[in-house]
Amino acid sequence: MYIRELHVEGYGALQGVKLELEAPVSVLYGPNEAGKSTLLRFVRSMLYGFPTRKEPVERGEPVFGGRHGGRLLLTDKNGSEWTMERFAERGGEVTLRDHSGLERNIGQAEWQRMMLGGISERTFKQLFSVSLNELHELRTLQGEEIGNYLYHAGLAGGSAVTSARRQIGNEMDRLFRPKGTTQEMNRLLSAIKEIESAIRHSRDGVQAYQDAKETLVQVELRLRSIEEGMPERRMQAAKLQGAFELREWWLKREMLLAEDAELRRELPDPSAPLVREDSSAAWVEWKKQRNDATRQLEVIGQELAEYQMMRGKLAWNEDLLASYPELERLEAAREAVMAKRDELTELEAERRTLDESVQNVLPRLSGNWGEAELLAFGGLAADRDEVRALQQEWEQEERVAASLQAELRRLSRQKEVLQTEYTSSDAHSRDELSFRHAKAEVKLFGLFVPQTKPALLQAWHNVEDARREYERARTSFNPSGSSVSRVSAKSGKSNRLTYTIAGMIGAIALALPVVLNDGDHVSAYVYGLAACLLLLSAAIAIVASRRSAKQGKASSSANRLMSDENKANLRFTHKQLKDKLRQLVEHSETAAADLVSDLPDNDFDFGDAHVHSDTLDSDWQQLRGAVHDQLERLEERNRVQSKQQEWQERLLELQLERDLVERDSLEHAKRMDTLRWKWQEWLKVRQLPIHLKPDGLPELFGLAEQAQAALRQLRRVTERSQALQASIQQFEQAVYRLMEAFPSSIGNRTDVIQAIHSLHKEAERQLEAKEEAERIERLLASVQAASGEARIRIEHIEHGIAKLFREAQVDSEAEFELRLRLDERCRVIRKEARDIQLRLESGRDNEALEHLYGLLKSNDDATLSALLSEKQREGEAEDELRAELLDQRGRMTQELERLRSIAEDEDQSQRLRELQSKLEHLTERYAVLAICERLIVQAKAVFEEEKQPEVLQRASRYFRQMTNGAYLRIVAPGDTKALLAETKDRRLLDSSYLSRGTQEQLYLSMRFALCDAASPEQPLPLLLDDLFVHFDEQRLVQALPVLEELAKDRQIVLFTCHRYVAQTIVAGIPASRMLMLGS
Amino acid sequence: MVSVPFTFVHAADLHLDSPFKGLSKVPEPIRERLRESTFEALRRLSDLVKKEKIDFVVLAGDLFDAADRSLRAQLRLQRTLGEMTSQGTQVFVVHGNHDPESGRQAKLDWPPGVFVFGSAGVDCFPAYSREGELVAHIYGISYPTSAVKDNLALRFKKREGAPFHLALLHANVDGDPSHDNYAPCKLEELATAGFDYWALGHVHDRRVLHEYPHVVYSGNIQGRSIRETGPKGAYVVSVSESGSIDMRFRELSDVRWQEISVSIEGLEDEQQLKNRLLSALEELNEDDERDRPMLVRIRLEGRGVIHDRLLQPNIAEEWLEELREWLASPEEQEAWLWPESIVVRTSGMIRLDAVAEEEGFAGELIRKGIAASGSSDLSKALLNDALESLQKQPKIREWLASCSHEDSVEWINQAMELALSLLRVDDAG
Repeated sequence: MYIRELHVEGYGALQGVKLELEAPVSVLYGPNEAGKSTLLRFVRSMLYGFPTRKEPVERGEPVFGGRHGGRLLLTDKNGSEWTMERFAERGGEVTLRDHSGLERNIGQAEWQRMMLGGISERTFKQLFSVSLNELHELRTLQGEEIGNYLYHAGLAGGSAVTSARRQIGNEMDRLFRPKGTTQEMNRLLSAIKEIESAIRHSRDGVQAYQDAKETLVQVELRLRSIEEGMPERRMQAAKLQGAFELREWWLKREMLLAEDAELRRELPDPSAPLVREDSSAAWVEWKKQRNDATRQLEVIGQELAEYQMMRGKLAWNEDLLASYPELERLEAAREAVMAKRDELTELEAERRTLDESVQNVLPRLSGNWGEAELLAFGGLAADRDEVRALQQEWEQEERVAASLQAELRRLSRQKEVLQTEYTSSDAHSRDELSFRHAKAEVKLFGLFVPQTKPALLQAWHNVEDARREYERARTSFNPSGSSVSRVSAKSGKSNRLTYTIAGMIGAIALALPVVLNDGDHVSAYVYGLAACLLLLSAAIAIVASRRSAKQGKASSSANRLMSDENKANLRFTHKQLKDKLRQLVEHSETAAADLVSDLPDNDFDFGDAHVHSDTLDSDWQQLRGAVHDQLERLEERNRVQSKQQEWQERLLELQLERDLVERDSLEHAKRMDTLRWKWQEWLKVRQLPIHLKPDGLPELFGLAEQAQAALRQLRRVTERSQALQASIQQFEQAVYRLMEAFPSSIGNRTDVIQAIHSLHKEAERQLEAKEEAERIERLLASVQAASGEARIRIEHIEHGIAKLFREAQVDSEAEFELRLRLDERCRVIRKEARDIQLRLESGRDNEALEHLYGLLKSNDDATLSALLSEKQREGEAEDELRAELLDQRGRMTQELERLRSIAEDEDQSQRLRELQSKLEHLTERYAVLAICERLIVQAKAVFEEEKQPEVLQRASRYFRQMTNGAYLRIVAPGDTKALLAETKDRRLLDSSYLSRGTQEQLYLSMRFALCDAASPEQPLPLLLDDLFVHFDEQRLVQALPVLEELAKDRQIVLFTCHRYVAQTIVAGIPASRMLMLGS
Repeated sequence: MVSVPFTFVHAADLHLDSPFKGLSKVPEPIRERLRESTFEALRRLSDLVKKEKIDFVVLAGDLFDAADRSLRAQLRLQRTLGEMTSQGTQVFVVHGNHDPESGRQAKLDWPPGVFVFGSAGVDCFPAYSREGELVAHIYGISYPTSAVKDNLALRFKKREGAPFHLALLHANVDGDPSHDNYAPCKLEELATAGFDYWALGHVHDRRVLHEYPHVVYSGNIQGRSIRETGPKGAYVVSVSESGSIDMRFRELSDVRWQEISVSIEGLEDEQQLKNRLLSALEELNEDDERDRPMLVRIRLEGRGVIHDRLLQPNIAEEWLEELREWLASPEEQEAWLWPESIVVRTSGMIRLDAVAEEEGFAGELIRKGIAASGSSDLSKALLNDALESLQKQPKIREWLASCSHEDSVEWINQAMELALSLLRVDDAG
């Protein structure tokens, strides 16, 4: 594809630029900002669409206006020309026009397929539209597409080999790395190492077991030997211990024995046995008893003397004592008599008071009353009840009288009210009625004849009927209207009957409310009925009139014949009317004149009469109003009359009632008199003052009762004082008798009371003295007996003591007591010695005893204790050893058990073996992978060496050319992303170590080679943006043949801002043209 | 010649408590069972002795692995031998390369009734029947150290005075390459030495090398790796009055090892592979005679389309996990079946030699591989080149050194298959 023309409508800073690219190699020269790069981007965008707004530079929205987009004139490989247009507003669409002008819009995908040989935008950017930036991207061989071009000549292509190696490499890395730690094999190795060292460090189980067992046997042996020697050693130690502990005791016993012997020697007969043990106690007892008895005897003697002296002092009077009971009784009564005297004085005072009060009350009750009457007066309940009954009756009567009075007053009041009311209403009604009459008279046609309501009504109805008759008769003369009437008159009974019925019904309807109006209230029902009847009558009338109309037509011819008859009829009715009026009204003539037109004499007058009918009607109206007013008035009168009648009746009733009440009050007065008389009687009987009212009675009763009570009390007091005086007298007499008998004892006391008191006291004193004497005599007797007993006891004691002396073979008390003392001491010593001996000998057989005594005798304290502690030390050491051995035995047994159980659980070696297996397994896998990898590497090496892909060969050729043979070859190993350059002397250099210029030459060579490979069927144009800036002059010149060669197959467009570059190229390539930009 | 008939048991290579090879990710019940299996086999030997009224027992070396220093092994051995001899059965023992006499290893005392041959020279002990009659002379010599390169068999000299002569030796007859060549000797030498029965140890596959005189390997009593497949046990040997020898094999092992091959030929997808694997295991499971647990290695072979997928990393492990899931859990089954591993030895649809004819990258690669596997030197060079980083690990280096040329060839083959598969897969993608 060749781009023949560029037309920029608007892109970036460009607007309306047009370029023609005729030559195979076009050099676009322009200074900075001439728009070279923009133009390059424009071409890219034209071919691959405008990028989105995210990349504003690449998108190139027009800065100076113009439509965003443009068009290209293209020639395809067949030489056909196409014009393509692309505008940003059209989205991804491209407009394509062929040489014949046929235009069509196609999508980007189709466009790319059609004209760009399916090259993707990315590849295009990397290979065909190249600036320095993109040139360097190739260093890393980005993109599968390009990589594939490099290796495609092989079996599986570079990618397969690469990915296979990567896959293998990954797995190998996962398995093992020389210095790794997390890889499976590394982990296994370290685990193995760990277990091995653990096994190495663990003790040799069997050896340990053997050792432990051996130790155990040794321990057992030693234990046994120790245990065998143990009892004997224990025994010896115990003996020594015994001797040591008992030594003190032994010494003491020896001393005791010596003392005893010494004491015995003091006695005359040292071998004499010890006196009985209780002797000493008995001696003490005897001595004490003797002392006691002697002392007792002395005491008794003293007592005896004392009692005898006391008895001599006592004396008393027998006679006084004989009257002691009488004195006793009087003394007891004394207090009572004193009390009675006091009481007597009190009673006297009370009696006087009571008497006074009775005397006071009596006159208040009644002048005639003495004490007897007072007592006779009825405290009786009957009296009281009687009085109460009387009182109640009295009160009742008084109440009745009051009510009768009130009734009378009420009645007279009512009567007065009625009277005044009656008179006033009567006057009023009379005035009103007369007034109305007068008014009606003035207005109407004179008074009505009938004076009652029904009569007036009847008369009025008659008048109206008559008038209707008359009117009917009159209308039959009317030329138009009379025909109906005539027809109806003539056309048969039926028609007239119908009218009559209608009229009747109507009349009833009208009359009904009036008739029933008596009661002043016409019910709705009645009005309803009346209305119905009116309607009915109207209906009948209408039906009848229709019928008569028909008949009328039929009989119109007969009308005239009938008129005479009608006239007669009219006159008759007229007269009738007048009669009726007369019956109604007093001034009937004037009324008739007003109301009834004069009867005309001929037929023609009838019309005239007809003219007057209007005024007639109004008069009738007036008459009807008058009648109705009259009716109302009549009714009103009736009402007033009935009311007055009613009042009259009520007055009568009141009068009657009043009479009755007066009769009652008379009766009542009579009853009051009887009551009063009864009361007087009652009072007389009781001798009470006549003027007393029953109301005063309760007070009277109270007073009487009070007086009665006082009287009774008085009587009781009097009785009591008399009794007291009697008893006091009796007492005094008894006292006087005694006073005479024992005058001496009374002394000068004269008062009976005091005298009896002192007498009584004297008697008591003498009684006491007598009793005391008796007691002392009894004591004397017992004391004498006791003194006898005491003497006997002393004798007995003396006897006992003598016996003791005999037994001890002593003669004196002193001797006896010495002997007792010695023996006591000896006994104590001997007992102690015996105790000690028991202590020494208990639990020991003879041999042991002997050994013990031997030890005690032959060793002193120090040697014994030294011997003992030595033995103890030995024993302790042995025990310690034994405990230790036991402990050791336990430990060893445990250790053996532990070793056994460890052995049972031990599985380190199995684990080790498992790990090893795993490791071997993995190693196998690793080996396979490694071999595989190695084989691939080897195969690849062969390949790279012998079957280098065409792309690389071509690139190498370009590179060689450009560098003038300084480098021979470009190598692209598939396993790395690096590109290598082989120098003249066959060294391989990584491209990144080359100089910048050489690097760019290498990349450019690669790009040129790849271009050929990438677009073989649609050779796309190469757009190079100032790629030669780092080329030196020679290399630039060297590059020209390469460009020329390329230009054979495809269009080349070079952009540069360096004049010399442009000139060199144009000078070096004949097929090239230079275009100036921005000029 | 022989007057009294008698019966003895010939066993060897007990390897008590020595670890099992090639196990990984074993659940605890199985691990426990395996741990106990050598002891269980020993117990069965003891039961056998009791039940069949055995007169004496000969144990031809390698009773335990001294290197493992297992106290448990020695305690159990001591106890079980005690049980045997307490019934009046003599036990004759020689030391082999795994339990040499001079090991720095401490040893427990042998119970009375156990006769252990020294290493200084060939000793001779009389063997009696249970009734107390002399029935045989037992000759034997122990390994003084673990590696004995001398021909010990030559030192055996018959001593007259017994109706039957039994030689007890731990040795490699005629240089069996799968075992260390210790105490090397020739069958011919043994057969002509004048003994009635050579009770041999060292080789773990039981085999009768010669009859009259009998030269017999009883094999080990419990398989300990996938290389030791099938029933394992001891020989019960009855010698009749006339001197005729009747040998009965008794399986003693508690757990059996087995390898089965499954071909991927004709398999289209994973489901079919799964079915085939399951039916192969089912077949084993339904074997009525199988009365003990079994560890199975599945070897995938043949040429099939799923080959490529089997070459993916870890794929064999994943299949193994799957298989274990499908099978009943070892806790639930007494005679469980445990897939120990799956080894992939399959080939792709493309034959390597065909590819080698091709031009291009793959052809070049395969040609290189085939060349390497064709020559021991080339393969070694390739291996050294490829595994340079591994050589720095002494453990691995040691193990690699022990690998044979066949192993290398196998690896190279696998590598070529892998490379082809990878390149093709990418090509297709």
